Amino acid sequence: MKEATPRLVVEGLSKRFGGLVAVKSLDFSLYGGEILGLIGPNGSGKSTAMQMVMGVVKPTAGRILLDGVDQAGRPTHQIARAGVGLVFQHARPLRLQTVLQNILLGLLPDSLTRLRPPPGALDRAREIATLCGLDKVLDRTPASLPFADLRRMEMAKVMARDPRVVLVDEPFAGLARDEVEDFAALIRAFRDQGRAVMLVDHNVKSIAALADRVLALYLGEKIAEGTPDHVMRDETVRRVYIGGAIETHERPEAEINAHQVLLDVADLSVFYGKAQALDQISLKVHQGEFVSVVGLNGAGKTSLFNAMSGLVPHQGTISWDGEIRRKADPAAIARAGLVQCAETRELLGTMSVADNLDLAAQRLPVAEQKSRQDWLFGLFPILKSRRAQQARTLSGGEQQMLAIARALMMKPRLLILDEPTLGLAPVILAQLSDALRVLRETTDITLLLGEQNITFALPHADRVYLIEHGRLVWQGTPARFAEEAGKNYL
Amino acid sequence: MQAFKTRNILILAAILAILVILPFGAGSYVLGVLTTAFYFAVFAMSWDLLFGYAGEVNFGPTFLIGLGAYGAGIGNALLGMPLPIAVLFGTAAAVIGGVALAIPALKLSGPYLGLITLVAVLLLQQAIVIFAGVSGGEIGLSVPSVLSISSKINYAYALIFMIISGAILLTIARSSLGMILQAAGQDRVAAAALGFDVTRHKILAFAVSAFFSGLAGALLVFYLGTASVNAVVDLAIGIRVIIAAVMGGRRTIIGGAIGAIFLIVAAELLRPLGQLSSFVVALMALGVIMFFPDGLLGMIAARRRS
Amino acid sequence: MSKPNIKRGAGIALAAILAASVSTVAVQAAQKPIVIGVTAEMATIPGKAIANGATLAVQQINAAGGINGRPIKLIIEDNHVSTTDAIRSFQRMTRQDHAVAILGAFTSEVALALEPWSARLHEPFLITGAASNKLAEYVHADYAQRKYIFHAYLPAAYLAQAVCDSTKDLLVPMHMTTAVVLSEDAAWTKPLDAGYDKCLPKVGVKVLDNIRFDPNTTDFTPIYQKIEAMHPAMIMAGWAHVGVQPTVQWAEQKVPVALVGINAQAGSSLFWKATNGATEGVLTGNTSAPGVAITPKTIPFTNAYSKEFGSEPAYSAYSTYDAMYALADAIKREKSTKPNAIVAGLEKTDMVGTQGRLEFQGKAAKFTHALRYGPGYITGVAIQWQNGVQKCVWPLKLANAKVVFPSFVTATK
Repeated sequence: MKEATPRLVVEGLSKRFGGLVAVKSLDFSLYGGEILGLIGPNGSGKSTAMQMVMGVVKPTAGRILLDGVDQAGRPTHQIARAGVGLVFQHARPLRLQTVLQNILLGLLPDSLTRLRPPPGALDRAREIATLCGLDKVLDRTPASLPFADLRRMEMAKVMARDPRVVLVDEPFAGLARDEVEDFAALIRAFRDQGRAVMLVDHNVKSIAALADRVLALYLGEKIAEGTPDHVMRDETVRRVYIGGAIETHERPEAEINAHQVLLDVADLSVFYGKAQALDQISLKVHQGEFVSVVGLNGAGKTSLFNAMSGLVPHQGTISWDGEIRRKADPAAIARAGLVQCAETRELLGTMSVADNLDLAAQRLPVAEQKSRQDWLFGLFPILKSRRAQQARTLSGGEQQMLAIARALMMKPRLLILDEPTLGLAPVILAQLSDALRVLRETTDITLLLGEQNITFALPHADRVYLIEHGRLVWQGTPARFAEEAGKNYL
Repeated sequence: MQAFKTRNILILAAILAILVILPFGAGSYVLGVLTTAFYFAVFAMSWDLLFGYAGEVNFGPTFLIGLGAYGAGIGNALLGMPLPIAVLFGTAAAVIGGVALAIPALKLSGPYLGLITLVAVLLLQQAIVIFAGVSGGEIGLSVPSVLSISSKINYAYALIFMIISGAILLTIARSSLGMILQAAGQDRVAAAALGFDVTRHKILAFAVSAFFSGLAGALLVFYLGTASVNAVVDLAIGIRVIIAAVMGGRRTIIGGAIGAIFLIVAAELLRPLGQLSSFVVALMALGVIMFFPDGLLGMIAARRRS
Repeated sequence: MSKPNIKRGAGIALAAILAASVSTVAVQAAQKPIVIGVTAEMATIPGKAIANGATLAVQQINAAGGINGRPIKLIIEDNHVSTTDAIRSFQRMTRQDHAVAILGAFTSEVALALEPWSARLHEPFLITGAASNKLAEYVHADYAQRKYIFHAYLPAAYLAQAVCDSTKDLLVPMHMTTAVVLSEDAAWTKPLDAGYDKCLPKVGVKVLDNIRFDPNTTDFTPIYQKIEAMHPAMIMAGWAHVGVQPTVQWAEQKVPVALVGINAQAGSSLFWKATNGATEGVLTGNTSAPGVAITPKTIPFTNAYSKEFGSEPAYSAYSTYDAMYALADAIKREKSTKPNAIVAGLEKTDMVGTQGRLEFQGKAAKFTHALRYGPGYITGVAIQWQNGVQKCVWPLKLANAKVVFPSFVTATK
């Protein structure tokens, strides 16, 4: 099955965006007849690496050898013609054409003078459609298709190109559980046809059953490579995704339940077009409680928080302070005390630290602005020394602190922190963790923390929810997490 | 689906039949209005190939039209070319100018192509004013030759030209080439990942659009007997072409023709309103675009369904 | 309105437009009035004067019983100084409104673009403001095809001649014998400059330089500095599209050179206000002048004109007014509105107008169908702005004032 010589060899591949090193001297090989999983949390450089192989992003350095010929830096269409295909996670199909015509597109030559498809192309398109399970929807337009069929169509288009190397971006994102197996079968078919397949995803778990080999990236560098099992057990990988040994400090359940419920979410579902991101999530947060929502990237945490903040439409009910919310007005929600500190931080890069904070304090009386700023500078002393500096010149950790401080400036009753550890070094994590402990112990602010890093998420939590693939799969105290859910986490 | 298509073809044939027999009944004034409208229709159809299919917003259709018109006008009036040669000369000027603009512009992404085409129109306008000795400046360039002084013959030329241009543009749009263009217009990266040289295809689309815009501009000059900035270069004319194409129905080619004829005829009928007429026409166009984003063709289709 | 209603409404509107477009076919212009068209540059002083001159003449003709009992229906269309707009409106007036003749156009480029259409459509066209020599030369080159065109004003060669004639009588005796020709770059000034170059030396004036400028020029400082350095006695102007800017800057910069020649806008009484009095001392050639009885018709016309429109007429008002009368006479004479009859009638024109005695030259003349120039016909006048009033300074027998230049014009001393 697996060929003797690698079909794709990547050597010393690097990409810098200004000062940021997205991919650092990456080496790997890909053989015909094998499936390689390229995994890493958000910001690890896996997408950049994939885009460089496809020629969408030009590498800063390194070689990409396809059958011995260097493709690095060539335009996408030439790399495609050399035999690389990419199944996009979100591609925009031809709206007015049928599924069959969309597949036919993959069979057209890159010619300016041919007005008709090559002979036999239509039959070939039908054949491919059948292989991909699209034979019943051939004459429908993409707009009328369910999400899974749209993804099948993307597969079919790539299959029509007959590529020697197939890249698949997040193969199972947005798919229902029963559809996942169909897709796995399609991807296996690619392998069994002798193609070299590379899957790109957040974590090992979703692709473990499919991949022959997995390569894990973190902060642009390879941290592990081997069988899925091997990578899942790898210490470095576990530290990146889960963190180290966990010490928990939950408060007794009775004490928590004595407080009233501040936020009550029932049967919440979120759809992006046809893709379902959340499936009937229910959770409660009590006044003064510290709740962690854990899950790998792509599990649906951000969608959950955005629905709570009124930023994305949803189904199901959200109750705030005992009242069911009728209208999703993000500004009113924030004024009522539900403040989110987003994963993307959303700082005003060209404004100073002090201005970013002042802007958030607009609604407070002047005296309170001052006292609150002093309190925040006490919580994050480094911000005080950086107060006149432009926000975008801060380090990643300082930016995260500023984002949290800015959210606190708005006097939240409930503070949502979405993935605050994203891309941060361990020493910064310790500082952030300390700040969270202070918040929990010295204020009555209710905290809802979304994290993939379990070591960070668990120590201060009173209760934990685990989300996988848009569903709630476990809830309980942090002490029980390791035992009941920890093993299956990755 | 098939029955629906057949019916569309029948309706189209019926409209064309009416246009063909019209000269036997209508006065020269009505024919004159429609003659202008037919040239306008070609402008709008050419623009739709770029926007509707290749996904590129060309804010300067009058750059291409103007090059064709002034190329032909100068060829005839100053270089002494006979009319057919002057028309070819103008068309070539439009294609060369269009491609010369597209090659650097397509290297930029986002709104920059639109901005560049916009600036190109202003440059052309300035050049015409500055080189008034050659171009006739703001007042206009009068050409010695005309296609015909008979309004019936002019009408016939314009109608035949519109039908042939429409047929060719529609054939291209519906061909494999049109499909690749649409794919590139929808998602440039995805189209490139399927092995298509997106830039080369878009340049071709620009060249085809320039060819028909320039040819129509050149013929219009020999219909009017003059070329002037406010007739073939002014931004307002370009905006009218864009409105016609969008209003008629994006990504249909034929919609451009319907929109153009509608706009010109409506403006002519509302002429008694004076200054207000262009305002009313703009308001009507806005209404169609707002309530029927798929244009007049979309509106007709929607009525049919209900 | 619910959405389906909007759709239906839009559908009805569309249907109504299409229906209306067909019904216009059926509408025929009423046969009773005689329709005459005017094409004018309405946003300019001479263009507006064309429309006013035509309006006044038609009012008077209709009040006097029309043409053989039929009233004139006047249609005035703005050509926006654009050849395309002018041609479209010319075709529309000819075909849709069935105008029996069209008058107007002071821009030579516009008039030149309209001439082929007059010939092609056999539509009599009387050019009443433009001055290019080419207008009449065009008729001369192919009389049979182009006889429908009449240049009811003077070719630039004659304008130059009139300026030379007045210069000889007025300025040469004042020892003003050097000039710089300063003309706007336009079709009509090419023959004008050629005329100046030819006739000025003949009357004893040396042309030091010939400067042409872009009509869009806003700052004339460098031009005036250059002229000053040459120390001429006169700036011989050739201006019609421009007027206010160079006049104001001439006065403000106290250019010590007399401003003479043709400053067409200075022929209008509005020019004093427009230049805020800077036109004081400006001398310009014109075909007529307010308050000067060139013919018995001149003063009644200027009086009626200022009563009706609140300002003195610009040169093109005289020519348009006269052309309208000539046209009415032609139709009256031939008792027909057919193009050939109108041409024949106009060729027989011999009438006294506001500008002098009017006669169109024959097909053998160089300027076929242009007005005849010279003693006994039209000679033109020279006027000078003095204390806010246009005074006639030439021809000497009509003059009501003597030439006086402002104090800053030192070149005359």
